[in-house]
Amino acid sequence: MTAVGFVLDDTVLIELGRLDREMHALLLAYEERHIRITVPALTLAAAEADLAPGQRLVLAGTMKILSNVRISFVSDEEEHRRLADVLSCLYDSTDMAAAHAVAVAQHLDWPILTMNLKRWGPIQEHLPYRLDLYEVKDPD
Amino acid sequence: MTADVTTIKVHRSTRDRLSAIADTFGRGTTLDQVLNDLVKRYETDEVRARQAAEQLHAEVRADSALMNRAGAHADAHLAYLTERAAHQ
Repeated sequence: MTAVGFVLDDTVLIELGRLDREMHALLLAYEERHIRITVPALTLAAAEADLAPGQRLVLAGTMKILSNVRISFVSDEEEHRRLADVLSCLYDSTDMAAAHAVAVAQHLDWPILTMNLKRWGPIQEHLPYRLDLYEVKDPD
Repeated sequence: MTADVTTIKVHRSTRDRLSAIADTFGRGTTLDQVLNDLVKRYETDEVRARQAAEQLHAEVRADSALMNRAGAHADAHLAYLTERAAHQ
């Protein structure tokens, strides 16, 4: 069976850090269904920058205890090149959180899970391909 | 007793457990060293992070309405992902 999953964007990671129980419940339900989750390291770092220390703690712990979560680092030449390819499209952007999410999603051929499609508008307009975005709405 | 040393009261069983841990650390290990080591471990970010997440997830799992709602969403998301994968 082909592994299926989502790449998380910073809007989702920030909500996880802010103790959004709906989002945490969704991740737990993903784990039960073997839906995989990949978190780009630069996207994670950008999300953490928006969080208080206690919130970072919860987010970090969540990344560690869920068996279906993997953090994707920029750790070799291939990953470095993929990120550079995306950044070259976003020539006037310093949105590393988005760039790394796009690079990882393109490589895995997985959709990006987001809580805000509008966050991706400015990114999409620079890219020569359509991003596959899947929006989860905040019930609040 | 020096000025920077104090006394804490613990249950005898707690002291016995600390002594048992001290024994595993090697001869001459004091309870102060054991407590310092335990505190250091507790304060390690990884442990604290795991505990924070585990506590939150325990609360979330205990909310059956929340988990049912999440399960329904996850089923729909899985169907989407499966369908997507089938067409690639």
